[in-house]
Amino acid sequence: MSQTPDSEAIVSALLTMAGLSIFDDEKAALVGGFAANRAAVDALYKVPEVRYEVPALTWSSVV
Amino acid sequence: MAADEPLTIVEAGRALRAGTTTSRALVQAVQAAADQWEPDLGIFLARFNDTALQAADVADQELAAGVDRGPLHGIPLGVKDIIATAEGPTTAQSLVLEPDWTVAGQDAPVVARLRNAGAVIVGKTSTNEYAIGMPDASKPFPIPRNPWDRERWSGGSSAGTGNGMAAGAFLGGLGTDTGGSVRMPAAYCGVTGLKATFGRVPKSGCVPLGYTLDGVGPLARSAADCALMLSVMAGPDPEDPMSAWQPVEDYFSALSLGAGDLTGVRIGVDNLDRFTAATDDAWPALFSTALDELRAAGATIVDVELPLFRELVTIQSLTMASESAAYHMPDIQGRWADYSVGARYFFATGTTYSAPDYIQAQRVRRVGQKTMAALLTEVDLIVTPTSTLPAPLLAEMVPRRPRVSLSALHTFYWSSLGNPTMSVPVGFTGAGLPMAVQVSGRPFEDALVLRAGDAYQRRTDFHLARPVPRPAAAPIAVSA
Repeated sequence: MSQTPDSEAIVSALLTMAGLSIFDDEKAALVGGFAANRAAVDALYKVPEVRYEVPALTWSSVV
Repeated sequence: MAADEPLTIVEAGRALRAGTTTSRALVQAVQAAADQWEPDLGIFLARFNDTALQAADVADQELAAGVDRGPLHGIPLGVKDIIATAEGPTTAQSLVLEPDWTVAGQDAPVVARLRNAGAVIVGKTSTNEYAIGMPDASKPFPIPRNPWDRERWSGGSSAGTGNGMAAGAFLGGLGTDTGGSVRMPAAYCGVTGLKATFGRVPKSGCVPLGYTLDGVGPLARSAADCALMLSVMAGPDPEDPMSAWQPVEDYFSALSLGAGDLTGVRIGVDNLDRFTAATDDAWPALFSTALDELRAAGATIVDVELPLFRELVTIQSLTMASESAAYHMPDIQGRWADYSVGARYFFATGTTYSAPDYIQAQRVRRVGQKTMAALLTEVDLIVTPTSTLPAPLLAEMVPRRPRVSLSALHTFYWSSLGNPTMSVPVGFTGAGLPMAVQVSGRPFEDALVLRAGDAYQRRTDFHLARPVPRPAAAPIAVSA
C-alpha cells in the first residue's frame, strides 16, 4: 500500500494526543504501517450487513 | 521426564490409582525433566519445587486415606505468569506491573479450582510481557525457545506452558488466549491447546490484555487431558462479569460418546490458502492426511468458506490493541522504556484507532457471529490450519511487525468470534517441526470440539511425540 502524505502528520498528532513519547524508529514503523492499517479499518465501515447492527457489547445497570 | 513415567494426565491418574506411581514420583519426574532443559529453554519464571513436593505428599496421603479429589488429584501443572497463584508474585513478565495488582498469596479462581481438585502447581511459566509482543533480549526475562529447535520460538504468549509441556516439565498447564496465545505455542511445540468458548473459564485473577477476547485455556498432551482440565476450570465467577453461566459439562465423559467414532458429525474445512502468504512444503499433505483421519473416524467432510475473514482478523487486532492501550494508560506515557519493544509498540498501535472504529469493529463482530452461527447450522465443526508454517526463527522475528513474523498464523479470526477452538498436532515438517490444525465449534459446544480432537488422537500419535534434550546451545541472537 502506498504511503499517504499525511500518515506522519496523523500518527504524530495521535501520539501527541495520547501523551506518548516514543523512539524515532518505533514511530517510523507506526507511520509505515498506518495507511494499510487504516484501509483495513475503513473496510469495516463498508460491510453491508452492519447497517442496522448493534455492537457486540453488553452493558448492565446492575454491578 | 523418564521414558517410563506417565506422559498424559489420563495415564498418570490411572497409575496413581493402581498404585504404580505416586504424586511425589510424578512431581520429581517433571522436576527432573525441567532440570534437563532449563535454563536453556526458558520455561519458567519461578519454580515451586519445595511447595510442589509438599502438595504432592498431601495428595499421596489423601489417596492412601481414600480421599480422591478426582482426575487431577496429584497431577503436576504449570501456570502462565499472568495468572495469580498463592505461591508467589505474578510478574506478567514485566518491569511495569505493580506487585499489588492482586491480593498477595491468593489464587486466581481458575487456579483455586485446580488446586481444590488436587492439582499440584509446580511453577509459573514464561510469557510475552503482558501476553503480547515478542521475546525481548534487552529485558531481564528468559527467551522461550522451542524444544524441537532451540533457534526457534516456542510461540506465545503462553510460551513457557507450551515448551514446558513438550519438554515434560509438567503434565498440563494454563495459558491464556487473546489472539492465539494458547493455540500458537501448542502448535509450535507439538501439544494440544484449547481456547474454550469465550466466558467458559473465568479470567478473574488474570492480568488483562483484551477484555472482550481473553480466555484462560488448558495446554496438555491430548484432547482428553484438556477435557479433564476444562471440566474443573469452567464455570462462572462473580469477579469476571464476562464469565458464562451456561451449565458446565463433564467434558471428559463426553469423549466417550462414540469413543472415537465421529459418525454423523459434519466437518467443514477451509484451508485458508487464499489468505496464506507462505506454506511449508509438508503442509498440504499433512492437512490432507489429517482430514482423511477424521473421515476415517466417521465424519463427513465438506468444503466451507469462512465468512468475513479479513474483517474479523482486523477486528481482533483493533480490539486487542484498543482495550490494552486503555489498560496501560498512563504507564505507557511515563514508563515507555520499561516495556518490552513488542508490547509497547502494540499498545501504541491502539492509540491510532478512534472510538467509532472500536464500536464499528464490535458491530461487524456481531455480524460475524451471526454469519458464523448460520454456517454452523450446516456443519457441526470447522477445521482450519493453526499455522501453515512452523515456529519462526528467533533471529528473524520483528517485534515492530508482529503480524509479518506470524503471517501464516490463522488463530486471530476465531478469537474475534469467541467460538471454542482447539489446536491439535497433525505431524511434522521435513525439518522435524510440529504442525497443527484448529478444530472450532459452536459456542458452548466445547465438548464436541474436544471429542473430534480425541477421535483424531485415538487414531494418531503425533501428540505423544517428545523432543530430545540436548546440551545447552550457544547464545542465539534475538531481535530487539
